[in-house]
Amino acid sequence: MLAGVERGRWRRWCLHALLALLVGLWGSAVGARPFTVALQLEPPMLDPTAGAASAIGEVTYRTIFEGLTTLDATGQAVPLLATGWTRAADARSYVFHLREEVRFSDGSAFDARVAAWSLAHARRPGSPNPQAAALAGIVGLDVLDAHTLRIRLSAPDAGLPALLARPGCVMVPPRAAATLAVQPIGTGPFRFGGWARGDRLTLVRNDDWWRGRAQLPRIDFRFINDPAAAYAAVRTHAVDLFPDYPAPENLEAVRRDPRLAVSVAPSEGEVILALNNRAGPLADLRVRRAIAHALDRRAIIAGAMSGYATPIGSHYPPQGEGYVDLVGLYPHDPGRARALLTAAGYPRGFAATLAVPPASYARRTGEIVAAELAAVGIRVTLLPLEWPQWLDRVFARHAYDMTVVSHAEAADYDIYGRTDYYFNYDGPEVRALLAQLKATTDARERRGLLGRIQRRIAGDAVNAFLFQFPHLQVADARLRDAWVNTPLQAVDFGTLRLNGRDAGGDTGQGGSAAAPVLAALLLAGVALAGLVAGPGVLLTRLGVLLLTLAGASLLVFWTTRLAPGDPAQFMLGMDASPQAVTALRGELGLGGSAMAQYADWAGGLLRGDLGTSYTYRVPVASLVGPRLAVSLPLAGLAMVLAVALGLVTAIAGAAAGRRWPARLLDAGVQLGLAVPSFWLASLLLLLFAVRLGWVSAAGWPGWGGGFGPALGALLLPAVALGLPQAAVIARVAGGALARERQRDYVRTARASGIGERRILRVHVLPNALPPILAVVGLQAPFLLAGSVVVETVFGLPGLGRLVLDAIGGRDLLTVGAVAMLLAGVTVLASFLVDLAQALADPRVRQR
Amino acid sequence: MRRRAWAGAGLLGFAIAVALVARVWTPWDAGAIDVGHRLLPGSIAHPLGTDQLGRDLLSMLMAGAGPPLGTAMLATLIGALIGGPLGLIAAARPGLADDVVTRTGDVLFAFPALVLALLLVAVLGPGVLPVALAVGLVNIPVFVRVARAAARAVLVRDFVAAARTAGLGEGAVARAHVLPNIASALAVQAAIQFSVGLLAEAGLAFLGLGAQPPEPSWGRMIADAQTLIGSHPRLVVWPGLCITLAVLSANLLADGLRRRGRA
Repeated sequence: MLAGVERGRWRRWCLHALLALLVGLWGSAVGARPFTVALQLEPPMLDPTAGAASAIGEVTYRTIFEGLTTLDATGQAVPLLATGWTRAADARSYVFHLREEVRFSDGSAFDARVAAWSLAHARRPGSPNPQAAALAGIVGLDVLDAHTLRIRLSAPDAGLPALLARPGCVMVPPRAAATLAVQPIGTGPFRFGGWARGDRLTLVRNDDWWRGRAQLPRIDFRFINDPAAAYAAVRTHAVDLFPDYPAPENLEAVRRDPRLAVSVAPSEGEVILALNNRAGPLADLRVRRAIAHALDRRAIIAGAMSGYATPIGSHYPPQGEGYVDLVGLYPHDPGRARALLTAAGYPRGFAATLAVPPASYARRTGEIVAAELAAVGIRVTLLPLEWPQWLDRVFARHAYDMTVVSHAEAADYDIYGRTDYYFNYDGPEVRALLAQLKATTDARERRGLLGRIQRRIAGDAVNAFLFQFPHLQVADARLRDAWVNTPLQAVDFGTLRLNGRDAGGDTGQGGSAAAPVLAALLLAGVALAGLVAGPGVLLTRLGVLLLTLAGASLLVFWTTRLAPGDPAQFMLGMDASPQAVTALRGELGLGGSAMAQYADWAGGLLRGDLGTSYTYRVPVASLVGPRLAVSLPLAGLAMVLAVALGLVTAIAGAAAGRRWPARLLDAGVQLGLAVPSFWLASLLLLLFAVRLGWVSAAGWPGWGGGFGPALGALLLPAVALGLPQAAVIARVAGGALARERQRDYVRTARASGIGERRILRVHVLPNALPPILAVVGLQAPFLLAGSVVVETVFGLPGLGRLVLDAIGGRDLLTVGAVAMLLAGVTVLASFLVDLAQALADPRVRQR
Repeated sequence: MRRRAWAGAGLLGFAIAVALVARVWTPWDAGAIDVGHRLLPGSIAHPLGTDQLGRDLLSMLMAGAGPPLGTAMLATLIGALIGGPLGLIAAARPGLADDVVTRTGDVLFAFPALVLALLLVAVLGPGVLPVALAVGLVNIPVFVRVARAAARAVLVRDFVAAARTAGLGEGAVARAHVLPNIASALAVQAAIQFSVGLLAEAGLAFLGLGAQPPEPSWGRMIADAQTLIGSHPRLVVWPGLCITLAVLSANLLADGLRRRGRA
């Protein structure tokens, strides 16, 4: 054993070396970042023909998959995989001429037979394809020759080419169709290159694309819906293109950055205050008109979108063909609103609920609408819902009064012809006009009909039409040809060009091969401890551990079963048919008795099978791995910082005695204990990342991008997480040191003339360490889980965010698996601490 | 030091008083949206300015004290009133009761508190009451442990043995002798759990799971104003300061009680 003095010198040398190493790693080279696009929502899977979530199309449409046609900026169908088409005079059959020399990325050829197969597959009974109902009008798919396809319809439909442009109608290879959700294969300019759930999705250039080569060799999609993380990401230039930037309140600040270009473009999305036309007072036209008069669109746009939106008067966007401006039909007039309410028999107003989905535009709009309606006597209670609950209560069961939502699909006015749609609107005139429209091919006639449809919908005040949802696009200023008008919610990456920027990079995914090694080490350590401490102690502790885990599993299973909301409905989206939902429920194993499900689940856990995630359709273990690669280092770094700072503070405090430095340190510790970690995180982000630019707030670059950048991304979060923890450790350490100092042997040492400093360093500290380390060991799991708020602020794809997202997505299996994992870690930690204490203290062994 | 306890109690009392007053009166209606006057700086009419929807910041801070303080109080009460007696029972009856109580506590302790709270809120939905229940549930095993440890230390004392010899039953012994002697330990723990509850509520409110609009809450105010932190930092700084001061006062109270108990 080294004597006291030499031990001190050795320790100091180690510290210096560690610091030098950290600084060196920090400065290590940053690899060239691939072209990065940020999207708000992550797709649940990658097959646009099997699900309605718009995020699927945003990632795969015209990147991986292509259809026979596509839409141009004005919403007109133009050729894509079809070079052209001819329509029979009665509009009941079309002949499509297909492009030759087109191949799928797996090498298989695209021809008329494949096209026929794709469309037949899309419209088969029970298909989850969002366009299945619309394609039901197809009665015949005739392969006339290798590159000519005739489509016969049951009724005239002028809109077939536009329908074929939808993401649900893309061409798919028959051989690979079953696994498209996780292995998408299409004809587009990019191939699928890998997906780290919750973090990024990679597309790689398809060099065999029929149109040539896209300029970008690789695209990384990152998923950022938190407005603060989005702001940080664009300001620190971690993202090249953000087609739907979620924080309009920041755009002025973003505009001022010369390296960024902001563009505001119209979209097909209409934000409406949807009214349940069958709910009490709302069944009266006068009441609905009163609501329309009570609303001040300008105020709503100013408050919810910081002014970045255009008011609308009906369910139609201003840039659509045949648009009629009906904004002035119901001007803001609270007096008129009250008069209408009185006439309808509600002189003192009435009470109603307003369901609000979790998007920030919806929440803010809801608050403003509630205030404006209160001014005319309608007492509104806001009901915030997660998307699965919204889909269940509002969309499926129509159990609502009012709700705020954006309808993003192009030309979706046909929903006003459906009596079973959640508006519960019965409009025979609109239905007749829609039927006429379907059969009309003359452009002028169509415009006239569309105008009449808009007027009717507005006249009947079916809903209150608020504003058109804008595409707020933030992009690198050097980007060229980023297609801004996007009727199909997709960016045309095939023609995207970037001036003067090297968009390089190869795929680099982080892996955790360390897990088996760690497990082996752990097992060896426990066995050794068992030998030393005695089998009795080991067995009792093990028994407690197993019992606790069993109890925890029961708790988790019971809680997750009680959570309301149907994962199947959430996954399939708004347009899913009830049959598809039932089929998916069966597939996910959501039927069956509670006992059977528990036995299944628990058995799987014991085998190491954490189950298959509902939303992502991959094993939960594969989801958890990459998250641990973020959360574990974060917790570890935070713990290192906390222990270092905490110990130093406690020792300094002990050394200072009763002098004023001790008071100062004590005040600092009190402050550290009281500061909320997410507040600290926000302030740190503001100061160090945004204002000073010292560290990147770019989310997670992955371990594959270099040790330095990854560590840099973890530093601020670790400080935010570790500072309060340091205060706790300083507390505990201070107490342990104080207690130790009161012992007899310390008094003896003091009496024999040994200096106070030396006593502290050589005698008190080493003996006070065991209880301190015990606390540290027990706090570690809390750091792992408690990082969820810090991960939210910094946009890190860690374990905490996984739990949060899984709860929102009603992915109960993932929630349960992660909760069990965290419980396991906690129980294991306390088991190890117990064992360590038994080893260290012989008295404990005899108990 | 008694000074700490008084300082802490004083601050906390002030915060609670403000929260109670806010239920009947605030300078402006805390929920009054006035988009035309959004993001105004401090003035005579609005001492701390207005937020992104035109609401008076001072009024929102006053009203926003209710959810965190109320949640922490309710959660602490739940923990103490359920956990305390359970811990007492476990201490007084070593054997099956003790085992059951301790093992259940172990199971609850297996989960990091935030995960348990998230699970419960996922089931019950967001709101002040679910959060209070969730944090209260997390508090119960803590109070069980403290009460059990303190009671066990008391139960082996001589005067308890004397009381038993004198013929007092279990219940009477508990009431007359054990409870008064563990009261100070429970009080200290209550103050600690109060501050834990404040931070937990703030965190859950920040995640959007606490008090729902239009009811203001400090944690949610920080979340709502996060994107404006670059242009209007006061919208984030003030609510965070309030949370910090409230937690600080609870910690000071706990400290003061602990030292008084020891002395």
